Amino acid sequence: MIKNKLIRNTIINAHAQGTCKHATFLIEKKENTRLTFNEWWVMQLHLAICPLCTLYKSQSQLLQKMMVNIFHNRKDRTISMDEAKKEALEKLIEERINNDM
Amino acid sequence: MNSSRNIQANKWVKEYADYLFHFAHQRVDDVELANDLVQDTFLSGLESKDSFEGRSSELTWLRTILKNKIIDHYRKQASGLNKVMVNVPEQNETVDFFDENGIWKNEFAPKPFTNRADEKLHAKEFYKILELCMKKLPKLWAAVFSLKHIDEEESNVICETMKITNSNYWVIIHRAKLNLRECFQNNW
Repeated sequence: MIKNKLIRNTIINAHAQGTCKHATFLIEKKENTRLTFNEWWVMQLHLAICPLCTLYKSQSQLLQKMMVNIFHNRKDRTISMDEAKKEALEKLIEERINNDM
Repeated sequence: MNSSRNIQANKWVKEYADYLFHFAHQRVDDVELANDLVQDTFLSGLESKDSFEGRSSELTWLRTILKNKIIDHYRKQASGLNKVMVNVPEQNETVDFFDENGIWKNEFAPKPFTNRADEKLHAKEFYKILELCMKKLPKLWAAVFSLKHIDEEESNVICETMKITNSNYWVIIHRAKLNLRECFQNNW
């Protein structure tokens, strides 16, 4: 009984929600958070039958890893403010302080 | 008591400009803009120096001002975009990539980048293209990603900061990634 119901639901899900559009949405959601069991199941069902979305998934994960690296590097890189800009800023602040007094 | 006396604004540039510039630059990835944000921060700081209570360090206080300015900037950039992206009916969101049945359109279907993409994870070319494509993405997405990976905020905090709903958040991320992958494939 339960098994039959599960199979029936599986088939219904595969047809009702198994579009590439929805599957790629779930793939992206999974990158950022946990999917519900139902969401995960829908995604797995679709991936099992769709080579395009399977390719999309691996490419998306690769790009994600690279992006994390890019942001990491951005965090580490040290760029100082331009010296001329600093001087101008110092002058500006001084002016403001003097005006205040 | 007179807290403004604790403030030594004439030393701000010497002591904090580089740090604050770095803080801004890694979040907006634009030298000019980072310069402007730091300048605005110092000027705001001067104007509100009486409200500085000395409970935190001067630097922490200035950094908070700067962070608020960065978020304002994100929001300003995103507000124009929200109208275009988020308020459009859902069907139009990804209409470019999928047909009416939700299946990949032929011209947008994923193709392999290269045979050995994984091994090229550290290849310079690969990263150059990706950075180029990231620059082309909607600003809202760039803001979301910066909040996520630089400030390491949770998605609910990001939604609150950017004033977007949770479901819009996923739509934006999905749309952004589809565009990014497409751009990457076309430039590879």
